[in-house]
Amino acid sequence: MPASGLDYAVNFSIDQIDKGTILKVQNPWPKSLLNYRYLLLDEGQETPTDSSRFTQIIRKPIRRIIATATPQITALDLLGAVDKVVAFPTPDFVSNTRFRERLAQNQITSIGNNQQLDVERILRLKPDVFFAFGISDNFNALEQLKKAGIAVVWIADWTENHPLGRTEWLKFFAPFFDKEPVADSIFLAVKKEYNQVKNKLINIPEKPKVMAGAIYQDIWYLPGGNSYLGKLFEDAQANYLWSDTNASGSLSKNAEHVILKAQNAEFWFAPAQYTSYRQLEEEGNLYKRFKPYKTQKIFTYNKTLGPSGGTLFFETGPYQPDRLLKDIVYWMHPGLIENHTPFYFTQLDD
Amino acid sequence: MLTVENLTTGYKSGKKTTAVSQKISFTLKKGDILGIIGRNGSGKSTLLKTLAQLIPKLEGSISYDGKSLAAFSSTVQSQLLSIVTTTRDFSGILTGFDILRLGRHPHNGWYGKLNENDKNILKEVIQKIGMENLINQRVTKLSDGQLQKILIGRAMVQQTDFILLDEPTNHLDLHHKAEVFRLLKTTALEQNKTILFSTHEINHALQLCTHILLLNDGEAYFGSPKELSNKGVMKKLFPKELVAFDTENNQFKICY
Amino acid sequence: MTKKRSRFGYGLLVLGLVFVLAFIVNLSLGSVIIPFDEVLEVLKGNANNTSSYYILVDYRLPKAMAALTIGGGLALSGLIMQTFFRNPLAGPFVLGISSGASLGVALLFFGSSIILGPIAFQNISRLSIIIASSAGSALVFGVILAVALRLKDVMGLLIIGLMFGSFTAALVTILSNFSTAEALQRYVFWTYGSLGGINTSELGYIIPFVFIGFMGCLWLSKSLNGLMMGEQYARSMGIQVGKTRILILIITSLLAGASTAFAGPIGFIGLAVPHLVRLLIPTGDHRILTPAVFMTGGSLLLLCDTLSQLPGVESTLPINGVTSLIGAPILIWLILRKRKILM
Repeated sequence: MPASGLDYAVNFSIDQIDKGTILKVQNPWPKSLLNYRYLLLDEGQETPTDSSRFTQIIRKPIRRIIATATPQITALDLLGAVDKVVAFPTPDFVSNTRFRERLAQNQITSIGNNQQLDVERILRLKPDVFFAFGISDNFNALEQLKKAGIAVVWIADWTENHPLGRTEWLKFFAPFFDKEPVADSIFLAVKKEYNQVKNKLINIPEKPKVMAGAIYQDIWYLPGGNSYLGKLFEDAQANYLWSDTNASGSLSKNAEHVILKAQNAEFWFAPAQYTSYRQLEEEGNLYKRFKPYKTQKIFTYNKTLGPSGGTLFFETGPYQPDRLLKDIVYWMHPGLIENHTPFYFTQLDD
Repeated sequence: MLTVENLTTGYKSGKKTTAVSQKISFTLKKGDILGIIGRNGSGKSTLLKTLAQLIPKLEGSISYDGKSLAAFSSTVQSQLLSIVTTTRDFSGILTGFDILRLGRHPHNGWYGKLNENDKNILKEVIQKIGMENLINQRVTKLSDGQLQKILIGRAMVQQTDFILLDEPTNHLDLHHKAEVFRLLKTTALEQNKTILFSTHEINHALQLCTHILLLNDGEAYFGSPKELSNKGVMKKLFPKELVAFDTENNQFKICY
Repeated sequence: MTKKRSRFGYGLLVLGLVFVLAFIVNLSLGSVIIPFDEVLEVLKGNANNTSSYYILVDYRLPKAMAALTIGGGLALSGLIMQTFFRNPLAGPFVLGISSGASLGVALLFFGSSIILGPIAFQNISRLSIIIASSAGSALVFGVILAVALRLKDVMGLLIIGLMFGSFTAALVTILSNFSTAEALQRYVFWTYGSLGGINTSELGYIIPFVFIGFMGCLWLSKSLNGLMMGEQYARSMGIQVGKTRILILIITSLLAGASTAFAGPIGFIGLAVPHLVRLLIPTGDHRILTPAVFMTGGSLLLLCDTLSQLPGVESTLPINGVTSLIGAPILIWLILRKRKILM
């Protein structure tokens, strides 16, 4: 359940106290049992006596940031704080324009990659806050940073399953820069747009069958019913063939099982890494038997890339769920959305 | 006819050459049995391996009916000479029959199929070596004597003009020694084969062989047992006080 | 004598029946339940447009063909390695062929993720994996061949092959240290082995390679039989030991390298199947062992593939794990029963 003041996000909560803001974060990666309490102290405030009950104390003003995942950059940009970013792992991966400008001017340092952070370099950069991202509890480097006094804050936006829940993380970043009103208004606008589209579809008589994913090493991976994509499908009034699964992550299914269940699907979204029909054809006859292959109704987000090849679905997508929804609806219910050019989900190349 | 002229045997390793025996010369014809005798390390095995084309000669010539043996193709060589070595470690899955049938390799086609003629030869040899009952036994279960008969049988099956044997009666009791020597004699006589073997059984060799090659301190002496005895060569082998040569009976005797 | 020959012929017949049965069972069983008469219809060649048909023809049939050819090929490779080295622990990968393949694939995954960046890494195609694996195997093969031409001692060659394997494995470990988590995971997945990814055009390479390997083993049967008495006897029987040695190396590398390139490193089959066959059909004659080992290897891999995707179970077990899990107990039981191995 979202905390008070939040509509969709479940992984964080914000409490204002007179000295500053208490931020709680949980679920930084799937199945993690950890949660964190951060105290964001206003400028000039002294450390409280009970500071040991907080995982970290962060002091404003925040002038130097290290971020570790591309959607964080999008959020910071929306809050006007991209210029404060001083380092990023494999920064070339980021598509954000302002970020790339500063990168080209050598104002952003690379700090290794997310599995092998360059701890010494990070220490030398003396960031005011380090926004952390991880897929498991392999955080030796982060322990070293904490011991050295760097404020490490876990970001759990990507484990939010509701599309608007991810967008709502704008409200988590806002207190760091005193930009709460900006965050609120952006979020409200996105929420309104999203729900408008969603409500327009509620009474659609027919829900077309939708399949997703593809085979990797004998296993077909596809989004679970409660996952990010699963929720988007649901809100787009699709009959996602695995919507009845409770999984909020990826499902591993046997290829035969998928052939049996989805052979006559109408639409196929997010076929893993495939971006052309020719690539699908090269794998043999298997993919060719699915109806969406024959009717050319396969759509991928892997063709929407930034200047250095970064997938925008991951970077800016979380803050534009309305656009994601509109894309899906555009392809699935033609004519229902006017004046829309699909951006994130596009057709496969030949 | 086998002619060996001025043969030097030995080993080459990189640039180093080690000669084991020098200037060996002899001639053998069909039906001859040559016993190669000498102390341990005198080069008997090396000579046999060289004659069998398993190791290269250092100098001299080995020719068969005037033609150098090395000039023959490996297939023809395998139809001319066959070997029985001291090797005992065979794959445990082989039976006596398996080993025997391998002897037909030089004579059958790429698939190794046995025709009627091959089968008859095998049958005959099995009878000659007296192994009818044990022929399908795995060789690891055979006694030393039985295995030796199988190995000689294999060489007989190969139907070569020459059979070269390295110490064929090592580790055998007298009964089996006798069987082996008799087998060699009948093979030479009845099948007109030339048999060359190295041995420590000097007295038996003197009894059996038509010719003796004696290797001693790098020197080689060739001739019939009687010839060598008359030349006084036999005496050179052992210290007089230890072993004496009885010229009358052509036998060595220990002095007590 | 004739009694033994007919007993072996009988053994071959039984193995042949098992082989055909394993193929049919593999086609019939999968995570989706397809009634047997439908399987028969497909085998007869009657086409229809149901999903069952597509599952059978597009998914199970290529997989079954891959399993039987690769299983057979690996087993054959193990057989000639064991004869050549006269060592019961030899297998198709004892010369380091799969280590070379692993090095090639590791360089591809880890290298591209480090040097070319995450985008290039995501776009690594199956073809590039196959080429990387083959290149790695070919490199190791080239070195082994060069060594074999200069070294007369077979035992020395075995040790060099093993050392080469250790060396390349160490290189892979070091490389993995610098790679991203995704690259490492992908590499680990590759080591699991996979038969389902092999499509019909890839079969067009695998089948001829394995066929050549099979015919090569038949051709070499006479020489291999002779080698069982050791090199000296073999030579005295007219067998050209040097040439045979080179041919054996080529055939092994072809069979092991090809199967690793398309299906990843699949262990156990090459090492265990020759022993299994020799325990069931106790002969050293490679003319009988070649088809026997091929069929047994194919049957075993078909069985393992069937077990890795059982009806009703929606996930797939990695084939490399299943082969050892199933095969090891069978071999142990047989050895204990017979109280020895025959080699």
